[in-house]
Amino acid sequence: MREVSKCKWNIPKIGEVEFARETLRFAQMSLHMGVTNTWLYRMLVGRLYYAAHHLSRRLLIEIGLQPEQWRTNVHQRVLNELDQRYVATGRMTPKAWRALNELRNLRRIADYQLAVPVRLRQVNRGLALFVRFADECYFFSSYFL
Amino acid sequence: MGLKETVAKIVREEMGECIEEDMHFTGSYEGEEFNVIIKLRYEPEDFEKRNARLYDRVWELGYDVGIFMEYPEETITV
Repeated sequence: MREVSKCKWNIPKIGEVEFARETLRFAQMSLHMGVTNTWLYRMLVGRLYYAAHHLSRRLLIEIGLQPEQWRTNVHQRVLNELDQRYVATGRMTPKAWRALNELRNLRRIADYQLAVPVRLRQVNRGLALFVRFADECYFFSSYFL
Repeated sequence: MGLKETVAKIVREEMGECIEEDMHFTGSYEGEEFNVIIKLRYEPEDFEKRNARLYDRVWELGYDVGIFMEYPEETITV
């Protein structure tokens, strides 16, 4: 069994990969249960994006960047840095990177544009984008995490 | 040509006949320039390719522009 590290408050600390897998599991489970609630759809899209965002930050930390010190445009900067340091160097496919970008857009509209309906189709799209991006991150995680 | 017009032109070139005429713009919400909301009339077989080109061309403009697709789906939500 994997040993779980603890933070200073003695709460088990969850890693980015574990968090991502758990997020995916809960999202899939919610849909399998047949939930058709637009509030939940918005929440799932948001959780999927942030799980992907955490994976992105981990990739950047592992090559020496410090995203925790960035103060502005953090999400755009994460995309920029991944593009320059992973995609341009052939370590990540444009397809995976694009998936993160699209997932980010999906999340932004789901959170801010209440007039725009978020449907099951968008959640399924979000799931597919998440898997596309996370699968490549998991590959690196075998080295980093 | 302004950024919105340029983005709208790219959207029309890539998605063409698949989209409703009335794409609209919204935001900024988190510092992005704006978001463009595109309503698909139908999802073409080569959607992934078109969407990838659309994303790449908009990214290459060098601005933070959001893209959102409304799919032609009749899902009942509560």
